[in-house]
Amino acid sequence: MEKKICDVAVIGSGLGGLCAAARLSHAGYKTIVLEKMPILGGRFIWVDYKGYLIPTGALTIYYGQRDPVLLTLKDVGGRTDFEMGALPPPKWRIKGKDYEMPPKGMLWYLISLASRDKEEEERVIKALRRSFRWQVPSDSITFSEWLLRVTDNRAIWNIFQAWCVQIVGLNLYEISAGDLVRCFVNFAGGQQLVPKDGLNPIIDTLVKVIEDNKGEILTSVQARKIVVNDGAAEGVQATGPDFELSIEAKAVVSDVGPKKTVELAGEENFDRGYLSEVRELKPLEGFWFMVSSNGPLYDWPGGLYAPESRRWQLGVDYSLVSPKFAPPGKNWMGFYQAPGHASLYDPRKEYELFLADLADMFPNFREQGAEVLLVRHFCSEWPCVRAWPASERHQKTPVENLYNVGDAVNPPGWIAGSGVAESARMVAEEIKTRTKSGT
Amino acid sequence: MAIKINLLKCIGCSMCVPFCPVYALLVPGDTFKCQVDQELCNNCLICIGYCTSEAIEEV
Repeated sequence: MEKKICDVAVIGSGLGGLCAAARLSHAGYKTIVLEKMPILGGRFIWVDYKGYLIPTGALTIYYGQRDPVLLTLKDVGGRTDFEMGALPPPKWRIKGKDYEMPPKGMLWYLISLASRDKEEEERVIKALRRSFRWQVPSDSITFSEWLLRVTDNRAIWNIFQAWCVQIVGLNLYEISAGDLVRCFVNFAGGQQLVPKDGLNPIIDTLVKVIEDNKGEILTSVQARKIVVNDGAAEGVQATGPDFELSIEAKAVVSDVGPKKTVELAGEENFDRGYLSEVRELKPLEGFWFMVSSNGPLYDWPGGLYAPESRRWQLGVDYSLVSPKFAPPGKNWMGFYQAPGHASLYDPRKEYELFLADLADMFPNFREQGAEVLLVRHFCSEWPCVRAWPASERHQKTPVENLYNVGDAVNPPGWIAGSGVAESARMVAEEIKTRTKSGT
Repeated sequence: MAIKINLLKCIGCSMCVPFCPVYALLVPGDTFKCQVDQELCNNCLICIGYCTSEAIEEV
């Protein structure tokens, strides 16, 4: 068995694992990253498929220049000079008409479009302002319940539902009022960015920082066990294509989700309360559809929200942002779809609903030679988001020096890769406070 | 050597699909289960490393 010694062993090379490893390597910690797949970056890379550059998961930098992903690159001295395309706000199709959004006050504008009268508009806006600026609503009710207390206007409900499905991945009747408001507040004022070469240069930059700082990254190596002794993590045992590896480490960072972390470390090392919390984590269930066409189905780079469609769709033609994303003369749009009820849905029915929405949203789709090029169904731990957003998630585990990073432990109000990078920052800071470097 | 999809394990995530060098893998929307075009497949087994649910098996 091969043996290695390091300060921090990182399991999984998704964005969270690489961000944590880059931060720690840059701070002088000897870091080893283990990745079971042959590639790095997990759901944060784009790959070539039939001449199209398409994502494995993440699509954009959500929070513009203040996004934790970009801040991580700056903090570790990595390059940030990627050519970026800024996505303008999507247009919204309300009562059959497409509206361009103002640069500021988009939400208020949408509510004015959907309100039945001025009194309703003012009532809804006042309640929202109060929840943003005075007190975040309770987590013990859903946002749908909170909103219905203010208005029974279905058009307004549809706007929030569409935003919630597309940004958070849940229905309004599944997310707590507090969690959605925290996401709103955090999201306000940001502008989504799309690197014109896809997200791979970001992953490449993190890898370079790790390797330049004497870190090691091992692909096709699968962690088999987190070694725990007397309540503290002391290393990782792993298997490569033709070797076994034992790593001694002062801290272990897991980017494979809390459930897998528990499995690797052994349930006997965790208290019953923590195990119960981990078992209750619910992965996000949903679909992603990629539609190719001969020319744009909708000629607006920000895309089109259709809150009155069957599944509250948003379609974005990413190939309008960068010509590198599609072969000449071709375009592709991406669509995320949440099922009507988590766990209680028929995937085939959801696909039929998507096709019906597509035909309604873009009546020209057949003339444009549109076809569904790729479908993705997310319904288990990996590769979907491992937990619904929630207000309290701890990166630290009951096992000393064992941490989780990634989308199951995003801090409150943070979503997607941005939340993942933020969870990695928090873990790296904690390790720097508690653990000295030097093997 | 060839590959077979374990339909009980496959979740239809399509992670493997773009990594097949000969585009022999497809997840149709009417099943959300991966299919292999055996005429295109060159049995390189690359896809096994990209499957997220260990549903691609060597036979």
